[in-house]
Amino acid sequence: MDDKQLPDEEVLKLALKDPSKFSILVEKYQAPFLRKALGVVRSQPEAEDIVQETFVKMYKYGKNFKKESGIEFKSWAYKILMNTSFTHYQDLKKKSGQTEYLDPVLYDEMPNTHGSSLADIHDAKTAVNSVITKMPEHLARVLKLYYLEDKSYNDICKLEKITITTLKMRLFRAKRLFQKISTEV
Amino acid sequence: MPTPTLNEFFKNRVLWKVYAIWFMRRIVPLIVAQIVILLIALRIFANKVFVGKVLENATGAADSNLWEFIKYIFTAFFGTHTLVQIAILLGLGISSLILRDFGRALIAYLNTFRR
Repeated sequence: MDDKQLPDEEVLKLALKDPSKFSILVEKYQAPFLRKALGVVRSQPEAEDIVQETFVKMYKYGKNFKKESGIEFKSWAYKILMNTSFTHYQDLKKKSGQTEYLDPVLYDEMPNTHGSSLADIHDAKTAVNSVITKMPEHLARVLKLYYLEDKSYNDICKLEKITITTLKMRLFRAKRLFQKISTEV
Repeated sequence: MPTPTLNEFFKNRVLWKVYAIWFMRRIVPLIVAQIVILLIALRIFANKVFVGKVLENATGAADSNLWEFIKYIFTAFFGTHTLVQIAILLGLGISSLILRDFGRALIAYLNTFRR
């Protein structure tokens, strides 16, 4: 049987023994990954970096992936991509100090309040929203305002009627919780 | 809208990193362990055997004919200490494993970047 016809998780398993097999996954996922990353950072070089990092992480942590019912390889791969994209997006913002908007399709729609299955999470907006909706409201709100709506500390403090110290603390807790939930999903 | 793809340079960078991870995880620990065992075997061999004399005798035997040389090698091997015999066998075995692992790494490298 041609290796290209094997399920992705089998290809990954083979690639852990023979790295040349990983090119099958690179060929298969490079275009959709790049499209998705471009939707987040809107810059070709940044998106390429994200995709590269994603593939490397997939290989690095490939031995931890176990196919179980409801956990698809594709969902797992897209989760890594979205986490990497989000981290890059935050770094970009910190470095440039400029406004970098996420693609509106990632966050404009109403959050999905129904427990979405992991198989659906490859859709970026579902991924971000599904994590945010699982967070306590006050933390989700500051996270959205700061990272997605790009409001300044002062604006958020006025809106939320809190001090800057409280805001910083909330953002810190929100980021930690976001990471925790997104790794659990 | 054309489908965006990573260019060959970036694809090769991904595969190169993947290859490096594989090499560090699967080949380096094996080769390091094998080299340590090989060094121990060589040390035992060097402590018990006067290598210069063996080479001198081997040259003498080789001068007469090939059969004499082979006979000398076997006689020397079976006439020596058991520990030295084990060290020689271990050294030969480990050397072939090292060669095999280098071969594996080379083949994997060629396969990874073959287009």
